Amino acid sequence: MKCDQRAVRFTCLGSSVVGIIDLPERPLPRGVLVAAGHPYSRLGARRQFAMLARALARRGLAVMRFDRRGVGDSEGCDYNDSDVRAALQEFCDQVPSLQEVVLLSPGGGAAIATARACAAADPRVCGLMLLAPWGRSRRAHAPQLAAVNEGRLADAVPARPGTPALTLVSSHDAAAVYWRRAPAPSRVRRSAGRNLALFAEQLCGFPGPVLVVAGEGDAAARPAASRSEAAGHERSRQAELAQLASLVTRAGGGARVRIAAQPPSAGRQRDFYDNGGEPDSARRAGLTATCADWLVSW
Amino acid sequence: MNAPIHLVPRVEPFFYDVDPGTRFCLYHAPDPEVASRGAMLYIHPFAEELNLCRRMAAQQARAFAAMGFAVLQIDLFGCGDSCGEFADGRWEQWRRDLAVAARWLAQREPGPLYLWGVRLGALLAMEMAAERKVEGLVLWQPLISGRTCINQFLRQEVVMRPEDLAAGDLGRAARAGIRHLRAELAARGRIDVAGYELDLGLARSIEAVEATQLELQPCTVHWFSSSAMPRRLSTRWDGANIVLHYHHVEPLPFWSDPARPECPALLAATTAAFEGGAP
Repeated sequence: MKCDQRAVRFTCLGSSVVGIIDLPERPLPRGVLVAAGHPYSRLGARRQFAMLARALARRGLAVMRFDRRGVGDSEGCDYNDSDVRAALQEFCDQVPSLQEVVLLSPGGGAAIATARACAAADPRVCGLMLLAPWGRSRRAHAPQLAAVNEGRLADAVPARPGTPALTLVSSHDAAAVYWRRAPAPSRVRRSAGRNLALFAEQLCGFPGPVLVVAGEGDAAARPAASRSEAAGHERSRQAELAQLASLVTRAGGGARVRIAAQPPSAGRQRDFYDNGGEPDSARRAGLTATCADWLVSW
Repeated sequence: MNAPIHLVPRVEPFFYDVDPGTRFCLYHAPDPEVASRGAMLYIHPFAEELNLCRRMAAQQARAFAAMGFAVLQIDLFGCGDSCGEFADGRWEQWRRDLAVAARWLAQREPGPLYLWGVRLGALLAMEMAAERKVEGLVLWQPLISGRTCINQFLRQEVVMRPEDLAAGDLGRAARAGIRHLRAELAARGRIDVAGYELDLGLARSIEAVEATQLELQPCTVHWFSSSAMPRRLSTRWDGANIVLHYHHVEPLPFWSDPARPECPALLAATTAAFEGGAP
């Protein structure tokens, strides 16, 4: 479908907020509002939200992205739920045919809490999409990458190569744990289990349909140095996803919460000198299809 | 209590048609209460650095606007919110985009033009200052070589093997990894690097640019960096009527570290350099 892009500026608590709407010629009554907090701007890491928004707009969905207060091009500091509510109002003013809005956010408890608060305040909020950082997210590794780029190589050495991959939840914390002071694997597993139970409970607390797209988990782990190590990471991820699904069912959210997994990267990280497999662009298209299909399925 | 009244919008985001497609722009109108200082064109850095520098650029742009500058930020083709795939970007296209942006800015602010570039954007600014007359350059942590930019970019994709880590010579391992990636890029034409698709044509067009090869026209340069001023460049500029101000700023890699999106010392130093009349 033919699409247009519209730059918008609105005010929230006295700060100018900058956003962009990807607008199909005939938008469906259901739109998507990208409500990502720090460290993500409206672009997402590696332009991921920009590309996703364009792709969803071609499927007929109006998508708005914006910089929270104190992030990117927006003024102010210390954003809170009021930015999302102000953006929601702006989105509906700009696209009068919108009847309901699905929030999209990189995953985590804070995103769910924001979505719940917005749904409670505004009945137009009808669904939630949680994306774990997708693709080979480098954000969690950024301090190490910076260290490498600046030649501070001692800072770039991971604390304990071979620590198992954590997936899905609190990847930033997990990365910090991994790189700085890696605890015993059994302790990591126990803590991951607790996080998972809490996460399932939070997911079921959102009043509408929820889509979770699990990342491949590499944000929390050193890239696998061999095929067997990568296979091990993938097994632990699948086990964790299965555990999450059963926790969600037990909490009564089985019908509303859909859990999908981003296919693991088959790229360079599998083997240092082997670069077979699917490029990032193909994996990006897969994620777009997962989101778009789910958005029009209910 | 009276709420502050803003007669002009503080920032104006818009899409601008530039062949091919559209570019995302942000215009910060100068404060009408102060004397006009001229136009300031912001040139963003490469790939993910553009994203990570947004907060710093927005803050400094607002400070420049408050000082009386008309400030334009443009996302170049294939970058940020502008149209196009990253892999299809080219140095030449970026130069054309900047020429269009400078013309747009001149229609609003006929005064002197300053270019403000970050990292690879600083190299673009220097090249533009060789081609046309500009009043001055504001360069943040400039890269003086396109090859360095591509090397640093590729380095993000180098995976250290356990044996490299054990051997301890990470510098050599990283260099070997970069060489390997370069060979792969040459053979395949396009490779994925840190989530971006790097095209051989784009890499070559960037690598062809060296600051030491450029003949800058006379202007004032404010060089803000945590590393020393490259001697080759300052010597070259000595006899060329270029007034160089070097400002050492404590290193805070806001362009590569999402945990540190701000470097207040750099904002303060930049604002100080332009406060109180013409620099």
